[in-house]
Amino acid sequence: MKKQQINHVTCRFASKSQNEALARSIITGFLLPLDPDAEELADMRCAVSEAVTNCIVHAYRNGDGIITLGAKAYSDRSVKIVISDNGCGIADVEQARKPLFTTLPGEDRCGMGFSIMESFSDKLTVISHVGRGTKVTLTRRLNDRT
Amino acid sequence: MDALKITLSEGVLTAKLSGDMDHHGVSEVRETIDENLYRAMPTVLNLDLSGVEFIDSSGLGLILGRYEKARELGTQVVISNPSKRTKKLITMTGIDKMMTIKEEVKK
Repeated sequence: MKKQQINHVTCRFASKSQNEALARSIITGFLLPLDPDAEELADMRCAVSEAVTNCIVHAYRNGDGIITLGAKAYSDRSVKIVISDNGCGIADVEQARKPLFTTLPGEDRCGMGFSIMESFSDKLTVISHVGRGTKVTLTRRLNDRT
Repeated sequence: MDALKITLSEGVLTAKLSGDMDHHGVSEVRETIDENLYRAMPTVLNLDLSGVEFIDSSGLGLILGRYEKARELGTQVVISNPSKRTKKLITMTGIDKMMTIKEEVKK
């Protein structure tokens, strides 16, 4: 049976660090009706937090900007989450995705953001254009509930 | 609830962290921990994570940053009382191989 979209949400919010918690709350509210287990929920909250933090710290360099968080849920219990910005973009996505890589080594950035997002997703895609922004898509299928 | 409580006893500087250790949360506590670290020059820096409700790579970055600074002072870093979830991230990123993890004995 072809999977069908059963719910979706799109939110736009300012690139401010206090909105990292807001993004986690939004994704929690979206996922809870799907009855994820505690680990799945924690994984997705963490992955979203990483993506949003990247927008704030790297894309907008702690300046003004808008972050868009979108989420879609499908009938096969898969979830697609998209976090996008209109910031500086990533010149070399492959390099950025390598563990421990960071462009801000003196600022306690451990370079594990993309690695954590990858670990907590079934699939992670990153599309970026320098000077135009970055779109991160996380896909995960939640465990079946009995 | 305070995000950070600092105590010093017998050469052990304990930084008890609470709440969200995300980029927003750690920016509020980083400086205070460092100020106390440089002032006290302790034998051990104990990062007590028992009150941490959320952690991501920014929180892990805070731990690694303090580890680097403490190492320069000859201070040992100990992580204590991480939740199961916090420990998962600490283990995933190999931080458990760099410093001692102490867990509270359950009564």
